[in-house]
Amino acid sequence: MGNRGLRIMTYTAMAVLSAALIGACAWGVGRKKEAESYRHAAEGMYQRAYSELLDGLSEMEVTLEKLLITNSKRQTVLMLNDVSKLSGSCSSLMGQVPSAHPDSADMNSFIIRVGDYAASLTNSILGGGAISDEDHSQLEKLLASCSRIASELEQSINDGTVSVALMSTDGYYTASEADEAVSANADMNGEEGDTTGETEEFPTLIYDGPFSEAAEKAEPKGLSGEEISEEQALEKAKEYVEKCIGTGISLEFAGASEGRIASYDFYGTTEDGKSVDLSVTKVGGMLHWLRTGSAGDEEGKPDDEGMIDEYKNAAHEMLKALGFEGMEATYAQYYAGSVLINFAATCKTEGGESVILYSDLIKVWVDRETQKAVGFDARNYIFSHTERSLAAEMISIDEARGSVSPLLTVESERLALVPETPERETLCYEFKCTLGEQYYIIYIDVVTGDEVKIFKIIDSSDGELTV
Amino acid sequence: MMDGRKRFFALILVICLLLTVVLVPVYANAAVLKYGSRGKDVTDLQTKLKRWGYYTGSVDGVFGPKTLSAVKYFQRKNGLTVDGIVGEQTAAALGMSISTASGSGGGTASSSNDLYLLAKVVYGEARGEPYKGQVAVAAVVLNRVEHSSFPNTIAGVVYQSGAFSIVADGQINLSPDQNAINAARDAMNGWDPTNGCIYYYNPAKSTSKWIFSRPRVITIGSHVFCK
Repeated sequence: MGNRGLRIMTYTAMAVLSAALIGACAWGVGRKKEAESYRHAAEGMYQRAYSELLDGLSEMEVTLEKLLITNSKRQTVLMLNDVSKLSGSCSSLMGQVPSAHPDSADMNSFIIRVGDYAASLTNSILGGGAISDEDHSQLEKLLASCSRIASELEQSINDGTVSVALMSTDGYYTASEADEAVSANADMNGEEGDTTGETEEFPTLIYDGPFSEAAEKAEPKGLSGEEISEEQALEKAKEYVEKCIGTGISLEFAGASEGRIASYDFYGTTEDGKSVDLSVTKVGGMLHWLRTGSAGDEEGKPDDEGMIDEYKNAAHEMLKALGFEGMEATYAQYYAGSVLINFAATCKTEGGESVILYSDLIKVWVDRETQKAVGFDARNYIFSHTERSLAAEMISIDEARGSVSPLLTVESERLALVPETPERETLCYEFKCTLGEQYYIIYIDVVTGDEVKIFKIIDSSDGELTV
Repeated sequence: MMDGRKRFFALILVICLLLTVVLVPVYANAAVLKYGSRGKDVTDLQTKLKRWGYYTGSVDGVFGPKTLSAVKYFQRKNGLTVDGIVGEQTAAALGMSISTASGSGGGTASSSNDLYLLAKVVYGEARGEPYKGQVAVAAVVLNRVEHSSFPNTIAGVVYQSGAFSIVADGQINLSPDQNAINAARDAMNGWDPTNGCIYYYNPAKSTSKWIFSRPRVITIGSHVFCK
């Protein structure tokens, strides 16, 4: 190749390179513009969320104010309903604004609990109750907090100090300086850096609802006996694994779990190489949960309907081995090679009638190939199982049936204890009904005859009622 | 001298090539159909698979477990990568083009939609973790939904500003594998290996002082779970 040829090639290459450079620059400018328009769009959404949040809080403030002076039951219920709705939209907006979790967690709890509390008050008023003095003073405190956060937010929006910057994961967990000091202080005192509970800014609400502090801090009711050591728990764990899975599985300690149900966790491997995980409660050494893998990966309901009885038998055997008597299968789900059967405990009324306890649930997984139990979970049972005193005065089942909508055809009926709120269970007549192709379950209070709950059974490809 | 020029020439060529390599992938971002997708494209897909005998379910426009196994069957038979995702190659082999507007979502607030979102979180956050650790990540999302300090829907928790890095870096849009889907189902069905936790972090990666101050409950795989 001559000098000339080389020069031509060099020039060509340089021309190509320059063209590429110009192209890259043009592309970069385009990308920057695109990124900027995305940034503006995101900032716009954040600003919208702040504005709507302020609107919602201001409306909530006015509604709470009116609630304090209304003298009409109808107005009270309508306004509580408004507060509930505003709480829902405000909490959704809280999830959209870019603020650090340690800074906004208390405000989020406050907004959610206001709605939860309003719903619980509505329920009690519709059940014949009235707003008590205690409720009145709680509403006053709520109004004060609501009005304070609304005006603070308005101030920040007007000053332009609300954050519209992209929130990073580290930023999400980084408290503003004041809070850092508080949590450091709490650490030194050996207290939990708690994000809930009474703070200077937000009052503690006493009420019965799923998001109440009492519900979030509830202790398990179903445990009794002494606290056991790690060694004793290991012995228990071995015993459970032998009863449920099989022999020859050596177990290792996986850690003490200081969660909602204080437990010791263990793990091991079966002879065919499947992992086994289980958790044993510290108090009383009960089996908390146990899981091992299933052999196949079959999905969906079985074609042969008779199989469900085989699966149920396997599950019942496991429950019996673990000492649970009188558990009743309620529904089954089929997925990933297993069938999960949900069981509820039962008890008897003074008259000897069987009552199903829908809070005391235990789940059992059965391998569809081997028809052996491969999993167990008693979390709900451990949380709520306790001796109950059931209502003595009851309306007759015929009377209760009269409260069921005439549109429905009753297929079966029984007694059931239904959790209405975290702290209250109601003894009900349960009516399984159909309307055309649809299944519904209706609960009628045995004392008042009121309809307490309606469930709709959603037919899916992988679940079914086992009745 | 000549060698030097040749080297210079080669260098320029390499730079040109590198530039094209860097620029091209940005534009190669085609739409795909996968588990959880809905819409007309899924209906077309099911019609084609059914006509050719790969699919026996109903043509309902929902990419569910049966469609997934039909797609895998088709891919296996046609020598394609068996991933159950209808991307460019599988679509070409099926003789169909996928409109960019399709994808998951767009349906009503159904539990299968929530399940798939949860599975995407598991896959993005914990795909290298032991199975129990994958269930644990899904359980934390569900515990947050039930906790007053967090939004009270699954989508609200997952997409809360800054809550999950996989939302910011786009990993949330990866297709979850069967393991992640099973872990999400186990968590939804009540298995909570975290014992009620609402936070977790990877001690090797996290820098937040605040999260280190939370009371620890249990370590599973490389994640520390706390309340």
